[in-house]
Amino acid sequence: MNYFTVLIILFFCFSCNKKPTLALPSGTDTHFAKVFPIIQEKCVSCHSEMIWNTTNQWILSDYIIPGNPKQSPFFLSLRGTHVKGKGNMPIDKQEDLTAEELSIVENWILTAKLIKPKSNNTASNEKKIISDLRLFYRCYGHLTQARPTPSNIFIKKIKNGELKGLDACNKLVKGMKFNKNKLDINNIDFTTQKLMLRNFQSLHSSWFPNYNFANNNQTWGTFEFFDPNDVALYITRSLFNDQVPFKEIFSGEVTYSAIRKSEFKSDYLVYRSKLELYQPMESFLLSLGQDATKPMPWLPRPKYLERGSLVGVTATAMNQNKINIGFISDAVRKPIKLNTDFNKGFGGGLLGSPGYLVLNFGNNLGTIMEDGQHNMRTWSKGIFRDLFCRDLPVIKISDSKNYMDEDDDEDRDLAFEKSEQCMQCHVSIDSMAISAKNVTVLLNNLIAAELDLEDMDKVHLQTMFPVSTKNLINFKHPNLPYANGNEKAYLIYRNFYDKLIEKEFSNIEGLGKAMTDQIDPYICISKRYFEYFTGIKINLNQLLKRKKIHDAGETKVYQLLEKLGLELKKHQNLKLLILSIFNTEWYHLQDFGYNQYRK
Amino acid sequence: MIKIIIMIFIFSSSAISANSLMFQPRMGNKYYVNSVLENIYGPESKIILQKALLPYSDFFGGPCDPYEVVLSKKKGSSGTLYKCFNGMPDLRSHMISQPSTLRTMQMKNLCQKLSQDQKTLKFSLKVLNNVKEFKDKIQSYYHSFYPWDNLSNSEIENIIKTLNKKYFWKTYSELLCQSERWQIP
Ligand code: HEC
Ligand code: HEC
Repeated sequence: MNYFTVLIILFFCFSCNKKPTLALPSGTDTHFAKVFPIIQEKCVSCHSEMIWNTTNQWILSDYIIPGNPKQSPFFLSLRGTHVKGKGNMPIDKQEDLTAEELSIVENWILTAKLIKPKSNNTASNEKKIISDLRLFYRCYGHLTQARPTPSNIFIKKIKNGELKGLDACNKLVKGMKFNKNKLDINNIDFTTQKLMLRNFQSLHSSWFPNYNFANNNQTWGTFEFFDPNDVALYITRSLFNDQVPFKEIFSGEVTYSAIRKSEFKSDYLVYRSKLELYQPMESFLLSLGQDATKPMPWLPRPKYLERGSLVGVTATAMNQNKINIGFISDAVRKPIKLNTDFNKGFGGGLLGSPGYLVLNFGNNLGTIMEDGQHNMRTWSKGIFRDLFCRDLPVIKISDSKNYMDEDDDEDRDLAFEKSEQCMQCHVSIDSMAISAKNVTVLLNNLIAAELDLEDMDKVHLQTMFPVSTKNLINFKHPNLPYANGNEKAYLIYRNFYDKLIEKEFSNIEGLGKAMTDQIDPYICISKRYFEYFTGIKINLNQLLKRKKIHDAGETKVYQLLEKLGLELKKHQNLKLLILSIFNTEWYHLQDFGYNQYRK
Repeated sequence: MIKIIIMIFIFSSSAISANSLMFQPRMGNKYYVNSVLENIYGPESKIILQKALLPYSDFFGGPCDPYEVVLSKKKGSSGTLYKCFNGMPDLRSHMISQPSTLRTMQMKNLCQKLSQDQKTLKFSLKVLNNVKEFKDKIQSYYHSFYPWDNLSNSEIENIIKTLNKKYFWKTYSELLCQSERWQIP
């Protein structure tokens, strides 16, 4: 039996189980009581989602707009309503709603009202709290993605009643600790610590969806110099080092690299060819030459990334990867002279880290930014998505009016600056992007016997790196005055409290500072840890949009996020954030509140 | 019995979405499953796990770290456990995974292999060395997978009644291995 047949059988059984024998809750309003059987009879057979048995659920599904049938997708879909919309439901004409039924539906929508759910619902008496021992196995699993061995000291103590499960979890969390910048090999918990370090670096990396340096032809050399997860290293470093306040990840030009340990040196490339990472049996040697059987040794200049298991995070040394020439493409070999150290960040900590800039550049290589046309918009979008946990747009459509370009005489009048819809996104992303207007990304063949080769190189193995246009030498371009100019940038968005924020700054460092003054980056990271530890996924955009109509669960989550965010802003300590999450009721429920919410 | 298999498919009905919140049962990723099973079935299980578990990042979750793999022409390799079996996309495999039919199928396949192999099964039975009573053995073996939980007397009786006497430990081992509750950290 193959997977496919199994899937079919399952689907079949799911649908045969789904006999809608739902009853109406007591206290249902009379209008809905009349509509319910009509939907059951005429719609549910195809629309299995339409089994909602309260008016509230219907309103929240967005199928009906209370008091407004003519804008309710549900009403518009019905044949015979003669209002705009498809009006072809139910598909089978013989099932059509009668005129009386239509008016029942209309009356229901006209009178429908959202009733705020009572906060004290009775479903809560089903809560099952887990035992201390179970709690320890749970947090150990989450912190390490492994299971403790039976000889684990905490397990013995918990079994003897000498230690509470939660206290043991707290001890584990406190054990996430660097001695200076790496784990202490002599620590008795070194093995567990190593697992936690690996697990959290993976978790933090998973928050940044862009990882692929190899989007451009033969740019896979980039993997040897920039770790696509270098942004995550900033967060991991803060988690493992109590001396590094969380907000430090948004500041400074220092970049970070992984400290790795291995018994011997790797002499193969990380990346091989399109979509493939290194495969042991068929990898390329980290070497050069057209004749693969006689590889030329690679000179250890510039310095490439360490390989082996992760044991720490260190500031990347400066002045070891200076670079003097860049190219716009591997076809056009016209060297651009420059003077830069590609391990230096652009300020604002991870916001200006080389890896993040390259992965979120979003323009053609060598693009020099220009007011309006080419800007770091992809990067701005990335920052809202990755560090505010928000999708665009992040202001209201009515807000964009304030930012419209109404002056017809200006030479730069792009069509979208005149459209509110367009501006709803572009106000926020364009004005943030100004802070990175001096960034461009160039190529060089770094894995070569010599640095800065000028002719067609023996191996086309390109590396991408960001350069500030201020570091280009003798380069002429009409956009340079803008790119190197002093135009102010702005952080414009509606925050966690639906307040319109507008902050001015002048570079990426300034953006980082503006961000750490807001609550939203703290809310975002709290949300991310909370999701990992409880499995409760939060759509922050929706949660904020629905603030006026939160149900009991959403209210609780909103309040918790606010609490965690405010606390973090104050104490700046990621370990304390994790401990606060371990302290929530959700973490102690057998099913994390899953069934409670099902009601 | 009930306790063991109760989890199978209980969560498979899709995630419950309540407005802006979504409750998703989350299972440990491939590294978690690897850790539990290697502890139970011993070093000989490595080869099986490497073939039947670690390449399946899609439905077990567990991102790879390409820098972990070290390979040298002269000295061989290390860290292959974490190699990126499916290439680039494995860099962003889910941290945790949801229950799925494919995962269940692969677990079945994996657990069959582990309980059929004499060496791995034998290793897993080591925990019973100093246990005398048959019933206690059943309990102890259960603890390998569920160290925080006990089987009730009637559950034990039920297991004795239901499982084939001749292949008892193989069947019992496979059943526990496949059950889903332990896969949720
Ligand atoms: C025979 C199957 C069938 C029945 C019965 C049926 N629908 Fe549909 N419905 C469909 C299909 C197929 C589509 C998508 C194609 C389309 O839009 O025409 C759809 C689309 C819709 C949509 C728009 C798409 C969406 O989900 O936003 C609405 C609203 C809708 N139906 C409402 C109803 C209502 C109300 C009833 C009961 C009075 C009903 N349907 C009965 C098959 C059916
Ligand atoms: C949902 C948000 C959003 C809306 C709405 C939106 N844009 Fe954009 N736009 C973006 C983002 C983000 C980018 C940067 C490219 C990327 O990463 O997707 C972008 C890029 C652009 C670019 C630059 C493309 C390039 O090659 O550099 C132009 C021009 C543009 N948008 C015009 C418009 C116009 C005109 C509208 C209205 C019809 C509009 N946008 C509406 C988000 C939006």
